[in-house]
Amino acid sequence: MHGLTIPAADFYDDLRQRQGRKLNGTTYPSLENALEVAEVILYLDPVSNGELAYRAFKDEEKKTGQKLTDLAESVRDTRISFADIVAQPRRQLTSPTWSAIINQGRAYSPFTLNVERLIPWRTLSGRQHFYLDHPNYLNWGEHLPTYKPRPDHSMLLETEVTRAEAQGMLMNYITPHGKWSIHSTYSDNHRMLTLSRGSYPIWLNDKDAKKMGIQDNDWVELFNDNGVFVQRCIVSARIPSGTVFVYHATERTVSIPKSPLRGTRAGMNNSITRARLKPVLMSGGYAQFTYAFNYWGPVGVNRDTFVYVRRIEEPNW
Amino acid sequence: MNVRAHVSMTFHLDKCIGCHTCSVACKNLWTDRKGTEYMWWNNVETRPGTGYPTGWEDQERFKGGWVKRNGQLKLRLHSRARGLTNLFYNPALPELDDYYEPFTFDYQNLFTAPEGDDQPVARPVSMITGEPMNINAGPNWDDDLGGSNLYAENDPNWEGVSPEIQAQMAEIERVAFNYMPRICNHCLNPTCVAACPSGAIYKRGEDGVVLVNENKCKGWRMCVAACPYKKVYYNWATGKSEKCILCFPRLETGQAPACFHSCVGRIRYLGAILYDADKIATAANAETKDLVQAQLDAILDPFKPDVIAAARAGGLGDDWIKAAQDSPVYKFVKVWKLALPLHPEYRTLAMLFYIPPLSPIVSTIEDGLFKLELPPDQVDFELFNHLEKARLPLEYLANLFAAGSVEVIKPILRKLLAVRIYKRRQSVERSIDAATLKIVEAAGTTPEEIEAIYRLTAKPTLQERFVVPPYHREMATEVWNDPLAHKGETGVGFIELPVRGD
Repeated sequence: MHGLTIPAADFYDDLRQRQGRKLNGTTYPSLENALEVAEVILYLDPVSNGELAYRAFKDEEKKTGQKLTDLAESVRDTRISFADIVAQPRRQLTSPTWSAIINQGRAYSPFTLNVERLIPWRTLSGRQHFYLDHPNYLNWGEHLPTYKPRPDHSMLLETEVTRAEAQGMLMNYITPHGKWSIHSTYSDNHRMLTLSRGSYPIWLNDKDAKKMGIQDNDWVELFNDNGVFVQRCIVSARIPSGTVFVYHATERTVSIPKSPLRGTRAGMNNSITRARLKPVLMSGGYAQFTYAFNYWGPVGVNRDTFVYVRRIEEPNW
Repeated sequence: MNVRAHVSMTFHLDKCIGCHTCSVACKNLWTDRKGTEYMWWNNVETRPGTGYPTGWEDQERFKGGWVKRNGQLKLRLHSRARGLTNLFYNPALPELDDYYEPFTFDYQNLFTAPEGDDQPVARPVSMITGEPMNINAGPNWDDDLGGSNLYAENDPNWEGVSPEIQAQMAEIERVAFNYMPRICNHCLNPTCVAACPSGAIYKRGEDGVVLVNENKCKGWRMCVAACPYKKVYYNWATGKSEKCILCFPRLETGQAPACFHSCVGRIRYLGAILYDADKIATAANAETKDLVQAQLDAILDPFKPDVIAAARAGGLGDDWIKAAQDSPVYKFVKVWKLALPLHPEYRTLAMLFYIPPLSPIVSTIEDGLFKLELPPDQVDFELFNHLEKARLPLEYLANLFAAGSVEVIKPILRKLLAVRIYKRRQSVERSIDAATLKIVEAAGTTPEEIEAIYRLTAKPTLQERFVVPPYHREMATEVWNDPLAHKGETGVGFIELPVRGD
């Protein structure tokens, strides 16, 4: 990660001894069960192995000419094992594989390593820069941040089939980050569902709702060619007219009834969107555009589409 | 002068992000039991909104607080005689529908559903009947202006706000809201105590925490009706009333209450203040417009030698006097005059003080573009001189925190704005110009005071936010129990089980 070379042969040998498994006469660290995999990850990751954090900074010192190992000096003998994090949450260690200084209880704030310890930004120029001279970006006209108007429904072609069965209003559907969850985590427990509305409500503008004969807490069906979503709605003046939104990412385990239109169990918030890959994000092999798993690669752009909205009577379960 | 100490609270509404971590901390700690399903000793309301229980501020309906009749304070709920005749009939009590029908989900179905064409789901079931139910109310139903046409528009604090402005507040260009967390106010003149026919509710001498004696409570529920904030709840399982106890077991071990400690936005401050118990009657009886000032007058300066002498004479230890001197609440409420009690017109002398929120300025849409009603480069300065351009109307805030008196709210907002203007100027321009100094002066403050307000607002330490006085429980225990024997008694459950009707 980040082009660092972290020598870890001695730790690899430790693992061979601790959880060794023989294969064709050679002993390897075993990855046979989940616990062993977790131990290997924790043992070889600089954020849970202080010595490796130290060595990573040592390598970073070579690249940058900046003094950095002091950030890990005091934790060189720290090893966080799986049993440790089962017993209680642990703070991870400061490491150049991430970008924040979190020593002494400091909260994670990205890029503090770059700003405070002068590690160059991981770009071609080593600075923050917006201009991207990659041919793909040039060809798409996105070499600088560019305003692009939002596509209308006739460009997306996600409501064409549904139009025939449509008995509702065509609206822009968005799925912003939720108030009650971090993506799908922490929202569908009893406590948080009690503090919200006990489901994954559909937010509608009050005047739009009036036009459709929808009242607060009515059942509403959202549908298009991709799928269907059925929930109660919240009518509110804080929602822009013409927009319907559902906080992402809902689970499909609680309070999801059957869809009257399609007859089967309704989906979750992404059932009515589809992933569209943005072509420029598939460019690679150039400066900071270097593919790494969960690090740089094309994202699914699936937050925005068009749906038909209609009021329904209480659906079946 | 009859000096007493009160562990008191300040909530800084500008810092509240409405995350409800406080509610969850409280719920997990205290009301996760049978009979307490609907109790939220701590709740967070979106304002404008109708709160929890729905519409609790409607005292025509719920009859909470005191009223002044012929110069005398009377319970709004009933006279002494009427209290006796109505012992078995109390129409002012909130009902289940004013709270909500507690619900859970049939999570078990996710594991036990028979094989079918569809994925199984957990549907909502009533915690009362166990039957599937339609959820149509909750403890935070109008969160983030949910159902604004039903709830926010019916907030009683719109009184006196012109219908045009109210209508504009329902347009997205003007819409604004803030959060208001609420716990028991631990009032100096509590109606719950006064209304209890059993004498079961009391205000603790050492710190002013209002508690229900669960052994004496007979479940008449007069406290539930009489509390204007609806912060006493009836436990249907034990047949007793319960309320926020300000986490006194935590206070007694030097910790802040759970809702304070867990607050993500760090909006909460707790500390002791000294007050003159002889002034309570005068303060509660003041003219409506003077209520806030009269309450402030009852709060004493813990640095004044005569106050210290009287406090000592009254039995207060020097460590409590020191705690009162270090109290962040004293600073916000009395020294800087930035915090106000919620609905002082209830005359209960609430000891939880709110710093009212600032809000953005009004904007309109012109040719499809947002247009601020004030020149953008001078927004803060202009807002300072035109507080009526703030999105949350002054009258609205005045109805919440100043018994309708705009003149009480104005200097607070101006001082908060002066702090913002001064600090922004300092960090952006690196110098303070004459125009800024003029604002500072007009707000009745000084650069020194601004720095102190900024420090306690923006970057206080845990120890600065919560100055918990030493309770000396070790002494209290040693007086009655052999400490070694007592140590062996802790942690073994109820000493006495609460018995229904006992």
